[in-house]
Amino acid sequence: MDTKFSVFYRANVRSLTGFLINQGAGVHVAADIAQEIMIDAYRNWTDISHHKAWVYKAASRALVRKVASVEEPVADIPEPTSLLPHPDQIAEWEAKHDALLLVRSLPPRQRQVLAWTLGGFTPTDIAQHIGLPAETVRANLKLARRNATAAHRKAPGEEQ
Amino acid sequence: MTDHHAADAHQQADRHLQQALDELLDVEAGLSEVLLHSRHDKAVDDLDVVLDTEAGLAAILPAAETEPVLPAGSVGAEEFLHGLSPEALLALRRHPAVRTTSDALACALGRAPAPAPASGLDLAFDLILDVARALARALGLPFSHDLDRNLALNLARALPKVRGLDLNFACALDRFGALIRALARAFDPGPGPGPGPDLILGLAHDFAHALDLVSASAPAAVLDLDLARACARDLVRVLDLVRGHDCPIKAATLNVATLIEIRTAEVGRAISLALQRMLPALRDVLAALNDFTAADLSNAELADVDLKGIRWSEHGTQWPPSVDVDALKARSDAIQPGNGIWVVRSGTTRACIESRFSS
Repeated sequence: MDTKFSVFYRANVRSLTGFLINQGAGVHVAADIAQEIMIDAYRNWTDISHHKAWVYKAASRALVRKVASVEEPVADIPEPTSLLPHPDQIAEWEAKHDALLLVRSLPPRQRQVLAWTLGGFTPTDIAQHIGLPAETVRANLKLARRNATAAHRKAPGEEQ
Repeated sequence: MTDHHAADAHQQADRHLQQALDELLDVEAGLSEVLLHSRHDKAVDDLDVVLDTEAGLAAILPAAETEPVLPAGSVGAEEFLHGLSPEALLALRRHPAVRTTSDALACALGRAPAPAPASGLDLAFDLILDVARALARALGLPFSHDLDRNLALNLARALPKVRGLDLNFACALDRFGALIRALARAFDPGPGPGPGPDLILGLAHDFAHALDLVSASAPAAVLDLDLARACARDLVRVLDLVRGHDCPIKAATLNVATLIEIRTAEVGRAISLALQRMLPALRDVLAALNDFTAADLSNAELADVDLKGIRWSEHGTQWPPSVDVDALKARSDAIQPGNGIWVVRSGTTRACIESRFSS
C-alpha cells in the first residue's frame, strides 16, 4: 500500500496544491490543506475507491471550511512545514506565475469550474463532484476560459 | 487558359474568405485560451521551488517503510552494474535499446562520428519514439527497437487509435498524437506556417501531465510507464531549450553538455528496460557498460560479439583461448602507453578468433 500511496502522492500533491491556489487559497494554506488531505487519504486508503477524485473533493471542502472559519491573523511569512520548507520563496513563485493567479480573479463559480478542469476533470465529473448540471458546468467553463484569457492578455508584460 | 482563370478565381475567393475571417477571428486570443492549460501545468510543475514532495511524503509514511530514493548519479547504480557477471554485462550491451542509445551517446561525446550537428528537433523525435516504445510495451503491443525512424513514427502515430483503454490512458494517447502531429509539421512544415515552439511545448506539457495521471491511477507501479514519464520529462526539457532559440525550431541546436546529459539518461532508461528494474541515473554510463578490465571471459561465448568500446586489461582481463590477444591489441587503442589498458576500436572478435586458428 505504501508504494501505491507514494506513487499517488508524488503525482498529485503539486497539482492538488495548484488546484487549491486556483480556488483562491494562498500557497501556504493550499500546501497545508493538500498535506492534511493526503494524510487523510493515507489513513483511509483501502476504503477509498477513486483516490484522485476523493482528495480533490475533500480538499475543496476543507478550503471552504477554512475560509468560513474565523482565523487568527496570519504572519507575513508562514512557518516552514515538511511539504513547504521554504515559505520565503512563495513571493518569487507568485511573481513568476501570475498567469495562474489570474484564475483567482474570476467570479467564484467560473473559478471553481476552471480549477477542476485544470485539475484534469471532465465537465461530467465536475458536475457530479460539485452538484451542478453538466450544462451549467460547460457554460461556466466557457465563460471562465474567455475571461481568464482576457485577463491574461491584459496582464502587464504580456506580449501581444 | 481556362484552368489558369479558374485557379486565379479560387485564390481570390480564398483571399477574400481569409480577409473576412480575419475580421471575425482573434487567432491570438484563441491560442492564448488553448495555452491556458500549459501555463497552468508549468506553474504547477514550478511549485517544486517551494514544495518538498519527498519531505511531505516522508512525514506521512512510517519512517521504516519509506521507499528509499537514490539520488541521481549515486554510486548505487554503478555498483549494481559492476556487480553483474561479465556474461550478463555482455548481454546487456547487446540489448537493442542499450546498443542504439549507447551509439547515440558515443556520437554526442565525440567518440564516434555524428551524422550532423545536434538538432534539438532530432533529439525530440528520438525521445518521442522512446516514449512510443514504452507506451506500446505498457499496452502489450509489439514495437521493435530495430525499426527505422519512419516506420517507428508511423507506429507511434497509430498508438492514439488504440481503443478500449481507460479514460486517462486514452486522454494521454490523444495528447501524444497531437504532439506528434505538431512536431512532424514543425519538422516538415509544407505550405503555411508550422506550429510555433510555444504551442509544441504546451502540447508536450499536456502530454507529460496526462502520463502522470495514467501512472497515478495505475493499480501498481509499471516500469514502462515510469520510463515513458521520465522520457516525456526530458522531451519537455528539450523543447523548452529549443524554444529559447531565435532561429526556426527545425534549425535549433542544443549545447553539447545538455545533449550528453539527455543521451546519458536515454542509455540509463535502456538499461532499466533491459534489466526490468528502474535504476537511478548513472554519471558515466559508458564506462560502467564497457569496463572489462578485471573480467574473467575465459568461458564466455564471444563469437559475433561486438567488442567496440570495451575497455580491457592485458593483465586483468581473461580471454577464451580462441581469442588472439595480439590481434585484439591491433584493433585497440592504449589508454595510456605502458599501463596495459586498452579500448577496442571497432569490429567483432570474429577476426581475432579466425586469425588465431589460421596462424
